[in-house]
Amino acid sequence: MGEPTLRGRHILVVEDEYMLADELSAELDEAGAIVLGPAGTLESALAMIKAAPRIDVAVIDVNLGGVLAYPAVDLLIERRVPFLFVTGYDAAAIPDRFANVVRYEKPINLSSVARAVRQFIDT
Amino acid sequence: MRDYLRQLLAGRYEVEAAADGQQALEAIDRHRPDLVLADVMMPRLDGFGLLKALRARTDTKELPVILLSARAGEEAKVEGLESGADDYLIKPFSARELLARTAANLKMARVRRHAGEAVRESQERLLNAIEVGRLGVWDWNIATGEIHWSDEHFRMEGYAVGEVTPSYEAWASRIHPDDRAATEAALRAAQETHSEYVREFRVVHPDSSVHWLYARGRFFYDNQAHPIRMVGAMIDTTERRGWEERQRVLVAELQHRTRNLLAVVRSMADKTASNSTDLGDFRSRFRDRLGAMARVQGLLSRFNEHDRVTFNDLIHGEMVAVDGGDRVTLSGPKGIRLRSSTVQVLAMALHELATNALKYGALSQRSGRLSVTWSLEPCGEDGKPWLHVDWRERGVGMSPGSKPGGGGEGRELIEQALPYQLGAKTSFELGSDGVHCTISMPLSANQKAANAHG
Repeated sequence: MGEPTLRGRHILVVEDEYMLADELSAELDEAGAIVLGPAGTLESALAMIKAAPRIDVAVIDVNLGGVLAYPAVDLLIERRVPFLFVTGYDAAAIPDRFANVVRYEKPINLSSVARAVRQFIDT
Repeated sequence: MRDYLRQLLAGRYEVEAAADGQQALEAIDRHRPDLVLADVMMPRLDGFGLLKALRARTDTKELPVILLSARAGEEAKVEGLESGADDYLIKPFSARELLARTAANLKMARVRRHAGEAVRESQERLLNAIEVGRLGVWDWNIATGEIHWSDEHFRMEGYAVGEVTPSYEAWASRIHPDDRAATEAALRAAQETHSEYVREFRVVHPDSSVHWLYARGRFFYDNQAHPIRMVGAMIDTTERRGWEERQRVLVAELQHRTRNLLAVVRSMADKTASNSTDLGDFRSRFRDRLGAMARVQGLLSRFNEHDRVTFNDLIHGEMVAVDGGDRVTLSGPKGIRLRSSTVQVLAMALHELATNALKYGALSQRSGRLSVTWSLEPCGEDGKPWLHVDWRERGVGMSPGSKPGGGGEGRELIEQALPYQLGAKTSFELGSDGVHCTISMPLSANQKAANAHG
C-alpha cells in the first residue's frame, strides 16, 4: 500500500464474509486507518453506527447473509457519513435511490477502494 | 290429389300423407320429414297457416316447404314465396316437374344443412380455441362505437361477463393509471400509422389486484382511409411476468454469489500464498482448498429453497475426501438443515480441521482416533435451534517437531470466522493427545420439516 495515507481516519467496514472483511480491514489498517468493526450483520452494523462517536467513511457490503444493508445505509445518510458500496450485485439490482453511490464490484481492487476512501475524506 | 302425389313419390321417398295442416303438424311432431309438400287450400289449417306455424318454431324453421296451389299468376306465386315457402307449384303440374322440384329442394336443403353445420362447427372450434387459449377478443365498430367482447375479455378486465356494455371507456377505465396514457397513445398511433397495435399493460380489478395483459390488434379502413373497424386479442401475461421477475432476482443472486465466491477464492489464495514455503507447497494447499470449496458448491447446487444442505451431507463429504477409514467415528442425527449462506465457511472450517488431522493429527498416525459427534438443541439461545459439534482427536503422539494444531489458518477459521460469520461459539484446544474443537451455531428456525424429510 505504500505510505500510510489514511492515518487516524475512522473507517467502518460492513461485510458479512469473514475472509473479505478481514482482508479489507487489514488493508485499511496498513494504510493507517482506525477500522471500526468489521460488522458482519445488519444488527451489528446498526449498533456500531449508533455507538461510534466518529465515522469518517463507511464501506458497505449490500448483502449481509441474505439481509440487505439498506437500513444501515439510511442511518449513515441521517448521520451525514459518506459511504461506498462493495457488492457482487449488478447496478441494476441496486435500488434507484442509491444509483449514484460509488460502487465497487467484487472481487474488489483494494488499493482503488482505499483511494476512493481517501478522496471522500479530502473532499 | 293426395293419393296421386303419394303414388308419384312413393317409389323414391318415404311418404306420409296428412289431410290438413293440423294433421300435418302432428305428423311432423311424430316424425320429422326432410320436406313438406302442402296444398294451399286445406280445411282447419291451410297451407299458409301450416307454413307460418313451421317457420315460427326453431326446430322446423328451415324445413323445406313446397306449396301447391291452383291459384295461377305471378301474384299468388310471389305471395307464396314471401310467406317463406321454398318453392311454389301451380296446379296442374306434370309429374316430372313435381319430382324435379322435390329433388332440387331436398338437395338445396341438404346443402344448406351441411353449410350450416360447417359454419357451426368452425364457430365452435373458434370459440373453443378462444376459451381454451384464454383469449380476450374484441371487435370494435369505430363508426358506431359498438364493441363486441368475448367472455374472457370481460373477465380479464375484472368485469363479470355482460356486466357492462363493452365500450372504449369501459376498457380504458380498468387500465392501471400509470399505464393508461401510454396505452391509449399506442392505440392512436397504430390507428394513425396504419400499423399493428401491440401493447402490454396492467389492469386493476375492482378487488385491487393487478394483472398484466398483452394485446395485439389491427385497424381496418374504408377507401378514404378512415378507420371503420378494429379487431384484436389479448392474453393474460401476469404469470409470465412473475416468472420473469423471479428469474431476474435469481440472475442477480447468482451474480452476487459468483462474485463473492471469486473474492473469497482470491483472499484464500493470498492467505495460502503468504503461509506457503514455496510454489510447490502453495500449489498443493491451494488445490486442496479449492477442492473443498468445489465440493460445497456441488452440494449447494443440488438443493433448492425447500431442501437445504444438511450437516451430515457436509461432514460425510469432507470425510470421504480425506479417507480416514475406521479411525473415524461420526455420530449424530441426520437432516439438520443449514442455511445456504452458512455452508461455505462451515465447510472450510471442517476442511481445515480434517486436513490438519490428516497431516499432523489423528489421521496421520496409526494409533490416532477421530470422533465427530453432533446434536441438535431444538430451542437454544435466542429461541433458535442450535447445532453442537464436537471434534475430538485422541491417541496422537507428540513427536518432536510436529505441530498437531496445524497452521494458523484452521484455527483462525474456527476461532474468528465462525463466530463472525455464523454467530457461532467455538473452542479450539490442543490437548495432550490431540485436538479438541467444539462448534455451536444457531440454525434457521424451521428444523422440523428437515427431520421429517430425514
